[in-house]
Amino acid sequence: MSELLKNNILPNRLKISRKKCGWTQEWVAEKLNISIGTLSGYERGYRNPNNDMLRKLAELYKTTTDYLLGLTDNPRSVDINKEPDFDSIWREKTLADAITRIVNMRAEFNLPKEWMYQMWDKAVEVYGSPEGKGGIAAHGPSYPGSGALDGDDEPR
Amino acid sequence: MNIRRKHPDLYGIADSARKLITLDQSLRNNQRLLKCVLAEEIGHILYPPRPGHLAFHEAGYTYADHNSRSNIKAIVAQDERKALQWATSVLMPDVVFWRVVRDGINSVYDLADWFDVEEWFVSIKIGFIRRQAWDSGQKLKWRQIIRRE
Repeated sequence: MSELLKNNILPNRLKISRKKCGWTQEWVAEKLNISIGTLSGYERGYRNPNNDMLRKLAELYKTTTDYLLGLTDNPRSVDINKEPDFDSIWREKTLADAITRIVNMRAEFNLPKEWMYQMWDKAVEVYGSPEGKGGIAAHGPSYPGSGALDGDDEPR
Repeated sequence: MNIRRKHPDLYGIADSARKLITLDQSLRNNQRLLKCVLAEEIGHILYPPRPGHLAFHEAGYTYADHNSRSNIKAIVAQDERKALQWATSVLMPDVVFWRVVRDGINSVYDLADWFDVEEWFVSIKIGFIRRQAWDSGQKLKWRQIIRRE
């Protein structure tokens, strides 16, 4: 058995990638023209996909073979030496989006907290703070923000 | 401030015009709840709530007629969604969430511990992940993301 299978990296990443796409084993197996048992074997570590199948799985899950094989932790990374795209922060439309981008970038590239704080300050300078129109929000105990997922369009 | 003396049902108030967040002093004794409520209130400053929102939380609200209640409830739901989505994306960044789930931390309880947030906050995060999937035409079940306790 290969190291990849022993460490469960490949099986786990195949499984998590499929789940992230929201697809069933049946659907993926049919798409790739393989049996459910074969796909299940890949995901449970009993079988090892060949290079061609690995490439097809990566394409289907819109990720990279490097990610599936554990060479990078970024599912969308093409280059394991990828540098953070700092300019992308300033392409965001709002301050809220820019802050979210900064937080995610810090997490993805293990950047220092100090960097994040500096970027937040800079984001406030660049975007300014949003204009409130007099609205006030308030929240009750134990479940602030209740109702956020209410509505007819909530996933059941 | 002791908000709950005046408003027994409130933990925090975000005044978007004054950029002022007021938290109930009881949160000092619960750091996790404080963190979640504060993040959510900051979300309200970044996505200012519309007039009418506060009425939802006021005592006389239940006496409003049905149509008024429905309208206010819809406004509140949209305001809350924006603020909470932001709060969860900052305290539980997507890239970290999936890394942690992949590493086998896959129950609401364990995720709450890992991210040092309240369990309801994790549930909200899962709700948003499902909602995003739903918006892109996929039906993502809870068990496809994490294990429910």
